[in-house]
Amino acid sequence: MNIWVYILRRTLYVIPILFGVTFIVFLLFNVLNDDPTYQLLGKHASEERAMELRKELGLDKPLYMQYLDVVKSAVTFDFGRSWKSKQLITEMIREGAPVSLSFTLPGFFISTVLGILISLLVAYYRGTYIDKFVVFVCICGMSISSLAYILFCQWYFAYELGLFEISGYEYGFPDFLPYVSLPIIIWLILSLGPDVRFFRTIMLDEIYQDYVRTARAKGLSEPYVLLKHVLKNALIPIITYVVIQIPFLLLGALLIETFFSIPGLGGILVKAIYDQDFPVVKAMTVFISVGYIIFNLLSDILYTVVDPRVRLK
Amino acid sequence: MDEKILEVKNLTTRFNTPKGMVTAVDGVSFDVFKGKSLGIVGESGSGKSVTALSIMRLIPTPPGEIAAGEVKLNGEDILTLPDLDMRRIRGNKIGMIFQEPMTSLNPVFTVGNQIEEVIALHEKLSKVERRNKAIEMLDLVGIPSPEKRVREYPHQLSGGMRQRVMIAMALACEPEVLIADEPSTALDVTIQAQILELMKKLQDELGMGIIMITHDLGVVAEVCHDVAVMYCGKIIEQASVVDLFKNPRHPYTKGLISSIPSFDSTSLEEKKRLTTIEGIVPSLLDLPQGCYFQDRCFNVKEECRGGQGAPCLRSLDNHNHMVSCFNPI
Repeated sequence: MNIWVYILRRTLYVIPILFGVTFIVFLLFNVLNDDPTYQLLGKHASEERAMELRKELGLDKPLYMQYLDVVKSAVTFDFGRSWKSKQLITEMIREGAPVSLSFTLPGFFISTVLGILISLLVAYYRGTYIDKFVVFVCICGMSISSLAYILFCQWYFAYELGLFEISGYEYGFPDFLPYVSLPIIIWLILSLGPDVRFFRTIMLDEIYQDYVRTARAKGLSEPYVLLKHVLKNALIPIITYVVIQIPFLLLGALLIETFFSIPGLGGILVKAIYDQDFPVVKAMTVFISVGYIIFNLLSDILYTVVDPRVRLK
Repeated sequence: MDEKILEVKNLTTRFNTPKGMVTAVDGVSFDVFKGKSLGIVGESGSGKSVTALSIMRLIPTPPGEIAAGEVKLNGEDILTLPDLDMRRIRGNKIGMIFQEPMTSLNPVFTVGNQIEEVIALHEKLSKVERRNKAIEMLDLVGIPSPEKRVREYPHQLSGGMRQRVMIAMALACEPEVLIADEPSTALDVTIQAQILELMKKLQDELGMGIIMITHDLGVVAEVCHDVAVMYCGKIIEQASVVDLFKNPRHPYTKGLISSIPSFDSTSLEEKKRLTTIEGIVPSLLDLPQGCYFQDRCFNVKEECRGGQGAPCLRSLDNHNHMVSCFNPI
């Protein structure tokens, strides 16, 4: 089968998924949710004022039209305005997303590469004390709450040692660097544990396969066997795991953004939830869902690069 | 006199399992000669494959460990070689093919890439020369249109074709010894015959010594010159193929031979029941005192049960026929 046919077919799968996801969002925000007009206007607002607001928010339309609005917003990314700040939501995303990415992307990238390298090393030393020690450290690291890392790092590295800034984010490269360094480090501490554990399991799954024994019987050295034969096979599950995380990077890390006063999307979302700013929450939900669908599609396509078997099926 | 290329002496391999130390290969000795095939037969768990992996030094350590013995390739003991030198022997002087052709090739690299890899490792050839040699090898093992196949992935080939690729890979550097660990077991009967035929043909052309590991005496009769029968990690009988089939001396070997279905006219008319060997192989963790075969033997005597310990492999009247039994038939 031609690779383009495969890509086209995968892309067509997206359509029903998109309808399903938007339907759930519609149910949550338009059907199950109470009429927000009196919340916004106060309970003593006049009937006319309420009708007017409903019209403005598109709540007077029949339900199926409201559903189509949600579908439309998922395709056009036109989410309307925030109830609170009256700002265009698209604009809020355009401002917030790069800020979130400025620390999540480096953190994610370093963590993935480092995680793969460590897991290869651990696979090389499988069953020895080095292996056990790394797993032990991973589990310890995962058992501690992220809040503890944030507070400790802020107190020790920023306050005691004065190495980093912890608030007052500035826009533009390289001005933001001092403000994102500590968040990146905390991100690494938080994600290396699960990453290494996951990658290690995959490497060990592969290392006991027959083709690895064949590679060794050829006289290849163990590091070569790991880096060529094992790694390429391990990349198949790793790609799914890694690519699927990318849309969530846009959203940033809610807790880290809050504690470091980083004006990213995560912070915007938290604030919108506090303010009951439903269009913003809804927009974020749709935005992340669409991102998830797109990156899922991307990982399916990436498979074909790594795994020659996918193309034929 | 045949030229001896590989000499295995007193090879002993142990595994440290959670339930205790297991001796999977127990003092095994045999010789492999240039252009000749030695068959190693035995049931599952008799130590055939571990013997093969021990010769290649591919036993996972831990839990496994080659505890004693010598493996001499052209007079040099390869068990004591440093890792780097051992890697120069694997795939170069000793090639190996495995039982599972479906999983023994790496699914994400082309067959050409995988054959060229072993050539690149052991021979100084340019990229183009390597590709040509890979095509030549595929042609040698009887793969049609090798120029096209060389660019294909393992999943595009059938089981028989994959096993041919494995053979091409194992022979690419013209090894002196080829270890074939049940090369035809996972294949259809007709493909089996083709693969065995191919191995015989290649042996005539390239002159390597073959260690053929199998549980199938039919395969041994087909391709081997000599046979060693293994039971619970020990060789219990060793002879030329003709000798062993005509005149088995160990009760176990006799049992194995009579459990092969025969297709002559009398057996078809009478529908005789197949003879089987009663009982099961003892666990390596709980071997009996004395002869390991005692509980299944129709000819068991007092001396087989402990006292003198396990019987040693010794030659009988004919110097080349060896058996480890207190009361050979």
